[in-house]
Amino acid sequence: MGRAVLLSVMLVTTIFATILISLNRNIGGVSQVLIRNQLLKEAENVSDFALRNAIRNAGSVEFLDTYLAGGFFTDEKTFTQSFTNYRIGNCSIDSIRYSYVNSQANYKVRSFVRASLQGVSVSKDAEMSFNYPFLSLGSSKPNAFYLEMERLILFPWLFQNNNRLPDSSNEDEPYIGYTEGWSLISATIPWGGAFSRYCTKFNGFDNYINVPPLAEQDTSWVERIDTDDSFSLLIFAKLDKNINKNNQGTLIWIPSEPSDNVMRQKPCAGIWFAKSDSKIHFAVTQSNSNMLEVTKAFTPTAVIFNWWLGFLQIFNIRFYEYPWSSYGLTYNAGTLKAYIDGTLVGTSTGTNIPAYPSMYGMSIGRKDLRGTGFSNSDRMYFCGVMDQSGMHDRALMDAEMKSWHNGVMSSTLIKYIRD
Amino acid sequence: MMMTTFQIQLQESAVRIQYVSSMIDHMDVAASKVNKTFALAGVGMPVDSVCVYAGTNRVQFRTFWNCDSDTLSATRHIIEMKIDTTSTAFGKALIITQDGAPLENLGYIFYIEAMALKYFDRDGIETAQLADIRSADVLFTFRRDSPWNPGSPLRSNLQVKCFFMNSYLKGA
Repeated sequence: MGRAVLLSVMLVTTIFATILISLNRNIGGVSQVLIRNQLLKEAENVSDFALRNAIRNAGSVEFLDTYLAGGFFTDEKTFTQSFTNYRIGNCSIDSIRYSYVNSQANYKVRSFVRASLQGVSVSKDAEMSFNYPFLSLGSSKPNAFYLEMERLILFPWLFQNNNRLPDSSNEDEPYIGYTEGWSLISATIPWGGAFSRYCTKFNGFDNYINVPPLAEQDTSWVERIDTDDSFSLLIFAKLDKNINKNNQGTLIWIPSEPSDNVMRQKPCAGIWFAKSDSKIHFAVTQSNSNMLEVTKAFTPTAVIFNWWLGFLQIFNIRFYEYPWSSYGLTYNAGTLKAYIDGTLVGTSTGTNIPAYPSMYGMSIGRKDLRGTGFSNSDRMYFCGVMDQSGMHDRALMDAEMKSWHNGVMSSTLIKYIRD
Repeated sequence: MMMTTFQIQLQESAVRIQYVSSMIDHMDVAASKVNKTFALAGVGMPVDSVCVYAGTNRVQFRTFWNCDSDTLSATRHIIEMKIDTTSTAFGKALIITQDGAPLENLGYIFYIEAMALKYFDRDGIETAQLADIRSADVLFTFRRDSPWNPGSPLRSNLQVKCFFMNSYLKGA
C-alpha cells in the first residue's frame, strides 16, 4: 500500500513538474518577445540618431578636413567611422559608413547599430543617400585612360594651354587630351554630357582631341596605349545628320604607323562613321598587319549644327534633345567584337595573335595621318559631340560592355532612405 | 481529482501563453515587413509613377530597390502585396512578390485571413488617384486556430499606417 502511494505521488509530481517547466518556458518566451520588440524600437531610434549625425557630418567642413583630407574627391570614396563601446541605452552604434562620389554633395551614409538585453540581441542598419549616382561606374571605370571631358574650356585661343582635358583613370601617369582647332567660345559645352556636365563639340573642319603618348623619363622610348593582347574601347557620341561633307567622321583613332603609306589607314584600333556607305566601322589591326573590321549600318539623327546657306555653321543649342549613343569595341585572342549602345553588333575573327602595338598616342575626332598632302576629307573630321571616352586594358565581356554603357547613361543622381 | 484539475488548468495556461506570445511575435514581424516594403516603394521613381495598382486588397508599386537582396538595383522592379486565395494548414498567406516571384525572405506571411487597404495623399486625405498616393492604411485580420479548441479560430486585427517614405524624401 505504502509503495503504491509512493509511486502515485512520484507520478503526479513528475507530471506537475513537467507542466511547470513547460509553463516557465512559455512565460519566458513572452518576455523574450517583449524584450525583442522593445530592443527593435530602441535600435530604430538610435539608428535615426546615428543617421542624423552622419548626414550632418557628411557636409561638415571640420569632419571632411579631419577624416577625408578636406573632401576633395575625384572618384568614389568610402570611409567607415568605427566606434568602441558607443552605447546609448541598451544599444551601441558600431559604425557609420560614408560613401562619396566625385563631390561632397553626392553621398550616402549607412549606420550599423546593435542592441542587447537579457540575452536577446537585435541589429539594425539603415541608410540614406543624397544626390548619389544611381549607378556609379564601379568596376567598369576605364583603367587605361578615361577622358570624361568634364572641364569647361573657355576661350582656348585666348589663354595659353587652356585646351587640356585630364585623364581620370586610375593610371599612375595619366594621359592628357588637347583640344585642337578653332572654337570661338569653348571647345567643351555644358548641360549635354552623358551623365556629366560637359561634352566636347567637333565642327567637322578642324576640331579634334590629340592624346599624345606618354614619354618614359629615362629614355626616348614612349609608353604605348595598351593595344596589344586585349583591350576595350568605348566612346559616347551624337553624330550630326546635316553635315553635307563626305568626311564625317572619325570617333576614335589609335594609329599604327601614321606615316606609312599602307599602315596609316590601318589603326591599331579605330571607330568611325563613313557617310559614303552610312555605316559605323570598328577596326583593329593585328600584329601581322591584317586589319579586322566590323561594319554596321547607321543613320545619324541628331541636329548638332544648323547649316545656313549650305555652309554657315550655327551650333544648335538644343542639341541635348537628341539621345546619346555609345560605340565600343573589344579585342582579345584574335577576335574583334563591336558594340553599339552596349549591344554586340558584330564580330570579326583573325589569327590568335596580339593587336598592333600603339606608339603614337590617340586621336579623337579625326584620323591621325602624318605627312603632307592630306585633306580634311582624308582625315575624316568628326561633326557632332562626344563624351566619356575610355579604354580598359582587357576585353570586357558582353554584359560588362552593357554595364559600362548603362553605367554612364543611367547615372542620374538619386535620393533614397532605407531605415 | 483536484490535482488533475489543477494540472489541466496549468497546461491550458501554458498553451495560451505560448499562443499569445507567438502571435504577438508573428504580428509584429508581419507589420514590420509590410511597413518596410511600403517605405521602399518608389526609390528612383518619379513620385507620380510609384503606384501601379491600388485596390482594397491588393497593391502594386514600382521601385529600383531590390527587396530580395535589400540593395539598390539597376533594374526597375514591380512589388506586389496580396492575399493568397489558397488556404493551407497555416491559414491564408499574405504574399509579397518582386517581379512576380515571392521574396526569399518572408515572401509569405501566414495566418492572415484578410487585408484591407485605404490610400491617402500627402495631406492625409483619402484618395484613389494612383499619382497622389503617399500613404496607406493597412488593416490585417489574423486568424489562427485556438490550440485548446481548434474548431473556434481566434481572430486578431492589426492596423498599420505605412508611408511612401521615399516619395516624401523627394519633397512630394
